[in-house]
Amino acid sequence: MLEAANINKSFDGTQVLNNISLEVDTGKILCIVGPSGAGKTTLLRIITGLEKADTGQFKIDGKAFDPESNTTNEAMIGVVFQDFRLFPHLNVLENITLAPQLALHQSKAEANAKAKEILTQLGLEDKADIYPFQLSGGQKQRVAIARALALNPKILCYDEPTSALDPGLRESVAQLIERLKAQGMTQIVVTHDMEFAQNIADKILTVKPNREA
Amino acid sequence: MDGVLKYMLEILPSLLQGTKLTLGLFAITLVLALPIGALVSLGLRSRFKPIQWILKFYVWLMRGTPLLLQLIFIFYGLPVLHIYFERFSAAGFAFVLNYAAYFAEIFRGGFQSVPEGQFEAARVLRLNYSQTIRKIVLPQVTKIVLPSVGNEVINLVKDSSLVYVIGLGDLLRAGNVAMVRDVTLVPLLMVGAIYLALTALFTYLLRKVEQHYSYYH
Ligand SMILES: Nc1ncnc2c1ncn2[C@@H]1O[C@H](COP(=O)(O)OP(=O)(O)OP(=O)(O)O)[C@@H](O)[C@H]1O
Ligand SMILES: [Mg+2]
Repeated sequence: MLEAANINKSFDGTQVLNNISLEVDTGKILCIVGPSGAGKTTLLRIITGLEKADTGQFKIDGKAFDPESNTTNEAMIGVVFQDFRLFPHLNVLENITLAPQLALHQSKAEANAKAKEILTQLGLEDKADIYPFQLSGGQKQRVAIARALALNPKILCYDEPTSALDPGLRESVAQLIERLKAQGMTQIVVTHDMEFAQNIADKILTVKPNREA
Repeated sequence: MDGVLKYMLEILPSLLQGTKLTLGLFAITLVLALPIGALVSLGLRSRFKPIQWILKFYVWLMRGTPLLLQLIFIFYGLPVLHIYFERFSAAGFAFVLNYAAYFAEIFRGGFQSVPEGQFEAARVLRLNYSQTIRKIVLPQVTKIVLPSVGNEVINLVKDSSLVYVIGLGDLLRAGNVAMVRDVTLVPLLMVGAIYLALTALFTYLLRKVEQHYSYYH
C-alpha cells in the first residue's frame, strides 16, 4: 500500500501541484486523470523519485520512505514511460536483465531465466534477441513493462500507456494491466483517457489545473 | 630502374625505423587521449562550476593554439623553468594534451545527443552513476562520435610528423635525411607512400569498427 500526503510542487514560482494526497491499496489500480498541463506527469515523477517535491510525505506499507533515494527493494517502484525509453544498443533480453544484474546482483543465468519467464508471460518469447528498433510500439511497451517487472517492484507506474499506441491496442493494454492486478501488482496509471480509466480503475484521482500564478 | 629499386631497398630500413617511432607516438596518443578526453567531457558537464571553468580553459587553450607551438613550448620552453622532458616524452605529453582536448569536445557533443530519458530510465532501474555511464551512455556515445573520432585519428597520423621540429627521428625525418644526403626525391615519395598506406589502413579499420556498431540505429 502506498500513501502520499500533502504533495506541493512549483516550477519557477508557478504552483503545479497543490496539496495533493493519494492512497493505493495493495493489488489495486489507481488512475490519475486530469486535463493536459494539470501536473499528472509531474505527480508521477515525484512518486517515482525523478522529481523532488517541495513538500510531501510518502509511506509504503505504513513505512515512511523518500522516493528520491528509493534504494531498498522494499520501496521499489517501477516505471513504464510514455515513450518507453528502451536502451537502443541492447537487445530485448539485455534490456530486461541489465538492471537485475547490476542493481540486484543476480547472476546472468538467474536474470536470464527470470526474464524469459516474464517475456513468455507477455507473449514476447520470440523477441528476446532482437533490438528495440525492430519492435512495434505495442511490443516496445511490453518490453518496457517486462524491464520494470524484472526488478520485482512493489508498485508499477505508467504514464499515458495508451497514448503512443494504435487505438486498437487500448483493449490489450487494459487486459495486461488487469492480468498484473490479478497477480497482486499494485498499479498507478496516469491517463487523460477517461473511458480507459473507468474501465480499469479501482479508484480515480482527478488532478485539476492550478490557476494561481 | 634496377638502381632505383636497389636504392629503395637500401633506405627502407631507416624509413621503417622512423615509421616505428611515428606509430609509437600514434598509439600512445590514442590510448591515453581517448579516455582522458572522455573524462574531460564528463567534467565539462559537471555541476561543480570551478571544474567546468578549468576544463573549459584547458580545451580553449589547446584548440586555440597550434600543436606545433605547444610542442616547442614543452620541449624548448619549459627547460627555461627548469622542467625538462626527454624528446619522446615531450612529444607524447604535447600530443596527449592536445588530442584529449579535441576528443573532449567531440565526446561532449556525443553525450549531449544521448536523450535525458536514457539517464532517467537508468535511474528508475536503480543503476548508479558509473553503471549508467558505462553500460548505457558510453556505448551510445561511442557510436555517435565514431566518424568524428575517425577524422582525428587520420589527422593524428599526419600531425605526428610535427615532432620533426624537436629532433625526433620519425618517418618524415628519416626521409628528409636520406633526401639531403643522396640528393634524390625518391625518399620523400616513399615517405608519402608510407603515410598513404597508414591512413588507408586506419580508414579501413575505422570502417570496420563503424560496421560493428551499425547493428542498431
Ligand atoms: N521541469 C519543468 N520545469 C518547468 N515547468 C515544468 C517542468 N515540468 C513540468 N512543468 C510544468 O508543469 C505543468 C504540469 O506539467 P505535466 O507534464 O505534469 O502535465 P500533465 O498533466 O502530465 O500534462 P499532459 O496531459 O499534457 O501530459 C505544465 O505547465 C508544465 O509546463
Ligand atoms: Mg503528462
